[in-house]
Amino acid sequence: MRGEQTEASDVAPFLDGLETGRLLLSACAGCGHRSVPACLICASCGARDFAWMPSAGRGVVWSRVEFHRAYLPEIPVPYTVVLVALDDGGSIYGMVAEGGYDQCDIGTAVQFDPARSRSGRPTFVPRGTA
Amino acid sequence: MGSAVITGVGTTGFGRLGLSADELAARAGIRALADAGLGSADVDGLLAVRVSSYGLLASRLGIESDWSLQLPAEGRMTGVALAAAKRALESGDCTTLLVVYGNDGRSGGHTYGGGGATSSVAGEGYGTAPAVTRAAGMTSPGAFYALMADRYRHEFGIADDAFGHVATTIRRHAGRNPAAVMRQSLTMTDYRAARFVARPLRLFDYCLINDGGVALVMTTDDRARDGSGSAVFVRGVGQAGALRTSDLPSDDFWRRPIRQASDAALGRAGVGRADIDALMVYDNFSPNVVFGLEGAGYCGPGEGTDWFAAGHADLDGDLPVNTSGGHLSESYLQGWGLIAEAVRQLRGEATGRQVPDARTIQYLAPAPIVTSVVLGKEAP
Repeated sequence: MRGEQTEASDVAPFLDGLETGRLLLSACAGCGHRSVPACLICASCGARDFAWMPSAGRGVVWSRVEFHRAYLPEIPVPYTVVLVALDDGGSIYGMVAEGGYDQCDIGTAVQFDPARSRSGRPTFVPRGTA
Repeated sequence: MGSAVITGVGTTGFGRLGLSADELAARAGIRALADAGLGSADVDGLLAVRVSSYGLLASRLGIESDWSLQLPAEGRMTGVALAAAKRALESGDCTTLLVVYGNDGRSGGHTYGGGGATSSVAGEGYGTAPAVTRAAGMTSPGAFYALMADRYRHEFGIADDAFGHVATTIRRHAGRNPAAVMRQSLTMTDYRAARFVARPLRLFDYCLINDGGVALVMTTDDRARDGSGSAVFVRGVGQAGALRTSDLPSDDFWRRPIRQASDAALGRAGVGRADIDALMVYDNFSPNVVFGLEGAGYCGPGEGTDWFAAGHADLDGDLPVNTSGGHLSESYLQGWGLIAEAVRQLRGEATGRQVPDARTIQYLAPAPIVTSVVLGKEAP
């Protein structure tokens, strides 16, 4: 369409980043608010300028769920998903490698695992085991 | 113009029926019209939910609607629909409105997780970006609630099986409702023995997946036929949003928007919490009932499961909750079954589970769009 740039993806840089072992979140240029998917207008400060920035990948488990029903044929059950509040801002869903549910209670310090995440699945491990 | 009232209610059977959503909605519509003593020529408004086509419903039921609306197949839209219907009637956009809802989730094989042809974004994971959530193995509304349930357990230190008090209480109500799909006794032992679906949520924390239809006939009190005394007023409606952050579970279990929507509905109805004779809370998952109770202020943060265990929500308790058996045990009709139950309670027709002298009932649906509706026998 004339006068319009190519549509910017709100999630593709995040997914592409995983394949190179990086955890990228959209960061607001105004206030640093981080999110995936990206926003067009920042939910925190209203700014309209964003960049995809790497996270150090350290955080704590906000909550967790262990899947017993196999909704996704590509992932055998049981498996555990955590919602991680990242130390450098934003929250992200990730799988947990090893140990699983009982090793990642709420408040557990976890670390993004670049090698395992190259599969395209954002993966975290309890800190100290990475 | 008068106040919006419900003068007819119709429901189909519930279960695995092998009928389309459109057929279920149409059958419920015919029953609602009969209940109201009206014919399709009397109807000039149509609100269709979870059907394939409002046009098909109008055509099949012989309705010429001057006010038409179709809303998406999400339970959070039920309160939105009733608010829109109330305003359409009270503004004079239409005079007699048929609301039809049909759900063929059981026969249609709806899974509510993992994607697929029947999924919607909101129905799948409560996030707006399925590619992101699915990459992490995150899918299904139940898992979203599991995250909130585990967080709630952590914040308030409740027992691992505490939400079982919600499931077992609501099942007891279903046992007194001949229309309920699940009527057999459910004990806490049964609850604990059931498999996890998305831990910490077990099988009986989940609503049913069934087929069924519900329809309502609505008009204004000045037009409602006198004599039957069966008109139920839509006294007040309220709505509040938590959409901006809906990619993630609510970190306050939607307490703020629940309170906002509930207070708006109660305020517009001109009543307070002490006036509510029964509560219908959207029980897609048992924790949602607790979030609703606490958010609206019926009990304090962290007290909801103990409140259920103490019997407050029982039929002879001080605030019976989901007297039909709700989504957990009667039928999953995305709020419409709870509205039908409220109407029947207020008409004194809830045989076997009637709340004595029920005059005012509140519907409350916690979700990224929170809605509440206050129904009553008296005009607002």
